[in-house]
Amino acid sequence: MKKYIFFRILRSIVSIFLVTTLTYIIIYTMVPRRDVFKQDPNIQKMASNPDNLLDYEQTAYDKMNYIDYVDTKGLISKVENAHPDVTATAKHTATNAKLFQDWAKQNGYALHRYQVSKNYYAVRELPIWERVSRFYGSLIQIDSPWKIHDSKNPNLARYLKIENDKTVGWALVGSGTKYRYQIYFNGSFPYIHQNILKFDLGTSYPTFAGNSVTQVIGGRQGQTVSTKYKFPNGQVMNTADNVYTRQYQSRAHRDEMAYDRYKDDYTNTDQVNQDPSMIGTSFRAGIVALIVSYVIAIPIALGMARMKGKWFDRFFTAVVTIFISIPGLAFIYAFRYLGSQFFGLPDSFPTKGASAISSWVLPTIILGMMGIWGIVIWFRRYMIDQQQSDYVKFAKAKGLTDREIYRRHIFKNASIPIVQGIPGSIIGLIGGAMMTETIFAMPGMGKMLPNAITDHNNTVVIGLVFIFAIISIMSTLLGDILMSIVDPRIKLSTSGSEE
Amino acid sequence: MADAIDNERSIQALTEDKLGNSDLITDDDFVQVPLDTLASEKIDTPKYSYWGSVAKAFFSNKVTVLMLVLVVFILGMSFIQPLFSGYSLKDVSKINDLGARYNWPSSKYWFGTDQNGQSLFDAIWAGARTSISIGVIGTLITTTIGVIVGGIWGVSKRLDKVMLEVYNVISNVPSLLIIIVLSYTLGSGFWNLIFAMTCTSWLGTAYSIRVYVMMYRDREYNIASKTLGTPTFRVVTRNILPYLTSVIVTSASLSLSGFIDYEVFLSYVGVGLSQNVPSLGRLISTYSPYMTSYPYLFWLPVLTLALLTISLYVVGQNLADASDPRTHM
Repeated sequence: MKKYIFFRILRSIVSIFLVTTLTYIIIYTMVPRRDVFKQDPNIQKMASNPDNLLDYEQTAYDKMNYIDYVDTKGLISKVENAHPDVTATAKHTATNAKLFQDWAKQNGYALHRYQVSKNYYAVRELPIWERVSRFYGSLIQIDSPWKIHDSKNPNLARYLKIENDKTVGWALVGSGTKYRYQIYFNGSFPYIHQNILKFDLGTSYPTFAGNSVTQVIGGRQGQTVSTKYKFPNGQVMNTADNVYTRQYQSRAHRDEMAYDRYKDDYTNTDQVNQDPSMIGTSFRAGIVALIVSYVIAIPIALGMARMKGKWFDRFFTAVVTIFISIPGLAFIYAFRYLGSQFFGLPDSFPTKGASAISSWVLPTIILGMMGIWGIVIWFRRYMIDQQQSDYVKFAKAKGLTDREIYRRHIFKNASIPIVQGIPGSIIGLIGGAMMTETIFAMPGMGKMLPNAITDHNNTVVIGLVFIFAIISIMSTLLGDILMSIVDPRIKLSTSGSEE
Repeated sequence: MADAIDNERSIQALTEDKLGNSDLITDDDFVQVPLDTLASEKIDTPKYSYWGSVAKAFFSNKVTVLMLVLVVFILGMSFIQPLFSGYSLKDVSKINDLGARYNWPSSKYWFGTDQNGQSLFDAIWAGARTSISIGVIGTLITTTIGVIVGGIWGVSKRLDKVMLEVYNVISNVPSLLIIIVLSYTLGSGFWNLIFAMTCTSWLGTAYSIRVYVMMYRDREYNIASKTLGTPTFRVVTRNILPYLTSVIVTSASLSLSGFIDYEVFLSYVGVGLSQNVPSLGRLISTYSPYMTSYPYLFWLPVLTLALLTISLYVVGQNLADASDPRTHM
């Protein structure tokens, strides 16, 4: 059993890896790379200055790992690093040109010149396998006291200590690390937090330009919220800075006011925003929707099975047929209309925002309702098959009432297909959430995917595919394990033989 | 299937009743008949034609016939009407004619007109044509590939190992995710969209065929057939696949409305079809701002879409039921 679960987890990880890699390869090889600038307003602004435009474009490609780009300044320092005895300048002399040319040749770069200034720059096309390995290489970031190397700050202390910090209380505090607070506690769920292990999915571009994809998908959204903090210098003030996310800031970019407040080099903070993150929004809506689908579907299916062939069964068979065949878009719009006309619920999420519960009601319930019909069909079929089984006949012969038979016997057995269906429902929910979130303009991952695609934001697309693949593949795995707990007759380890 | 069993039971009950009612038998009931050599040569079973029985079972359901009429009407309108209307998204001839804009449905404009003065009636049928074409072509491709691969998959153990792994990976990823990413990478266009949709969805059909082929493969009649020297290919095509007609029709009817659903959503978010191709999804997305001001513009395409998929689904499901020989008794 343990061996089976180990191999099952291994296979799930391989699946996630395969799906992500394939997506990565097809997106980065098949989508024309110029497309990323289609929606970018900066391109228009820079049209009059071809050098800046070129620099901007090459920098963007470099950030997206299409190429390695070295501008004139970078070229000079690279050449001087490689040959400490020579000095290169930006001047267009033959010696400089030769130095650049040699360096470019050695490192596989191609040397080019800017259109107007005729300065040199070098570009290296990255082969797809190198891009993929860079993506996975930087995927998991583990913080350690040897993480930061700042030439302006050679005497940076390097340690990890458990101490009672003046601003955040008891915490594992690091120096030389990227984040100041490695492990900390606060009042928000799940109460114990860490900054040691972080995922890096690349940099978002052209929308949310410059932000990391993890921040775009996992960071909180909406307006900033101020909280009262007591700073190490004794000052008490309201700030929107999230002091728990203090990161090392190089002395070159230091903000003196922040330095005065914190008294150390960890002055770069994220902001505290009021609304849940994209992933949080989708998770909340998804979990409630899953509960809604099961809570509505199971009584309907039970009723249909008990009254098989009667009006209740026939009526709901017709309802199920209509709702299972109706396109999701028509379904969502119809119920959105009903909900806003007759219950006065907001028909768009941003109208009242994430803080109002009423704006969550319609998208969540509709998302749940989209999943009901599949469960009903499958559960009714199961219940009807059970009705004809020997143990039910025996219970009847013993003189048990219908109610008892359903409650004590059939329903217990029926919990198996309920559990079995959960992973499928979760996979269905991801597809459904893309529709509901898009139509309700709900700022979740499901809305972000079509948005990222129309904006040609490739890194975010891959980040989302990665997260969706993890959710769906892991839910299948958990469903199987859960099933073997619910039904002790199921032995996963021997499930390989189907014939 | 449960209904078929019920039917069988009621027939049994009827015959038992008849036997019980017959009176005592006397010698008078018997007449001597000379031996008829000609009649003994005759095979006297009622003639059974498979497709005849399918048609009989199919047309016996009134709802199905009604839905079939609806399907034929929508198909007819969407493939014939655009030939005469000449609807084009790029047509802006009436854009400055204020009188032609936003007309509510009337005898002149049956479904009203939109912000460019174009008739919604023409737009809906032109859009439905694209949506239906995508659904039908996609279904044809997935069903053909699915049945062929599924047939081989069911009997080949070597292929089974590889394909199961592939299936486990693909089936765990939401299909809308695969389609949306593929149609993004392939760029927009009718055939690109069809490729994106069919690229992985045939696996589902193939898997269900595989399960049934495995179920029937080791039945006694197939073992007998194999022992008599029938090659595996012939066993699959002649002995097994005909049994799976209803399975194939069910999966085809599911994928037909599924593909239309995907096309509508993709066009709605602006991925997939090119800008100048009308489709129901594009109509719904362009007219969604008019939901309250000119509701007919929005709700009529939605209604057409819903009627189309519901009728296609009901017809497909009942055709699948009718094509199952067990319902022919």
